[in-house]
Amino acid sequence: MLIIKYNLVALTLSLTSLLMVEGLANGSFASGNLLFLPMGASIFSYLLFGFGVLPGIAIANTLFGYFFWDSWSGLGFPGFTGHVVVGSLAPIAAMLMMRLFNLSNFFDGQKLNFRHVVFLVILTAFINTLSKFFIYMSVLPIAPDPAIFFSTYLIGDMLGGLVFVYVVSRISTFLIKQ
Amino acid sequence: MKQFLTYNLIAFLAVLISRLIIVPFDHVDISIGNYIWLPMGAAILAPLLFGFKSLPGVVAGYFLATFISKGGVWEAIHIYSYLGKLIDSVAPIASILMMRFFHLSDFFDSGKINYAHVMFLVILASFVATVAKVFVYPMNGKIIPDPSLFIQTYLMSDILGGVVFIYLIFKFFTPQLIKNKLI
Repeated sequence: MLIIKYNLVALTLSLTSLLMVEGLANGSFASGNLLFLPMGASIFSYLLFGFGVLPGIAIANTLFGYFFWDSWSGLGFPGFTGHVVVGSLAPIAAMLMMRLFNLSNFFDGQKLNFRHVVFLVILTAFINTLSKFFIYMSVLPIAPDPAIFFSTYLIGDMLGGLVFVYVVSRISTFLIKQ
Repeated sequence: MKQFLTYNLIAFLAVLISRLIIVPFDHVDISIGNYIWLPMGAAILAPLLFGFKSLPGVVAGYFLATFISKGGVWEAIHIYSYLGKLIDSVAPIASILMMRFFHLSDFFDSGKINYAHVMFLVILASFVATVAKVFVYPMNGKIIPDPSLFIQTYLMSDILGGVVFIYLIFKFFTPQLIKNKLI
């Protein structure tokens, strides 16, 4: 029962963050949104609730991409693969990688280790950008400029991830203290 | 001073030799990477074992190897090769600094090298080097016709070469490294 609640929270966080940055989107997958908050939402959800919230995040990404982006700007299945599959799995891949190499568990006792989380955001941005590049490069009608693609996606993911995690953790701390 | 020169000479020879022995695996097309880029391992181990002061040796080794294997300096394609080697020399240092800054690892646990962290360092350095090259190399189709293939092959070759080189060094030179108090 708890997992359904967690999934609903993750879905709400992802959907809200997607809606918040919709105004900054440029309507094409050739360059990224420069403040991609959903990256932070998924990282935050996985850290807080575990990998069990994957369905919630995937459903949020699917609903948004299908209805708001008109089936991923007409890209269809490759658009779904890039946005939903890669977007939802990249943070998991980064977290598993950091755990596999004994780098971090992200928590020192009960406290979140922010330095490690910042690095997790950077690593997720790398994995997400590279994977999306391989998918979109072959399906976009006009091949994107790799330098623009990498710079916008990397900066967007890092900035969005950091801003979301920082703001939400500050708000949560404040609410817990109250 | 003697130690500085010795370390730089070892780094220089490690990079030069590891680069020259993989020349037969080079592709004529610069956009396709050599599938086992051993010098990445040398460029990672040098700053790890000798400190960042070994950078001149690494850069010199890369440059001489490029001069020998490519045979030119001033043509555009050669200039990009040298820039790429500069990135290959600096990327491991950037990755080491990054991992230290975020308190992820110091690569040594009470004097003993942490292999898991070094393997992650290889992957991170390969990511950094490959992405940096995307910004430096012209991806307009003249020199790099297929950016996807470029990124795939360079990333794979850096990771594979780095892991193989480091494995071989620790397999055959561990007693010497311990004797010289490097690990």
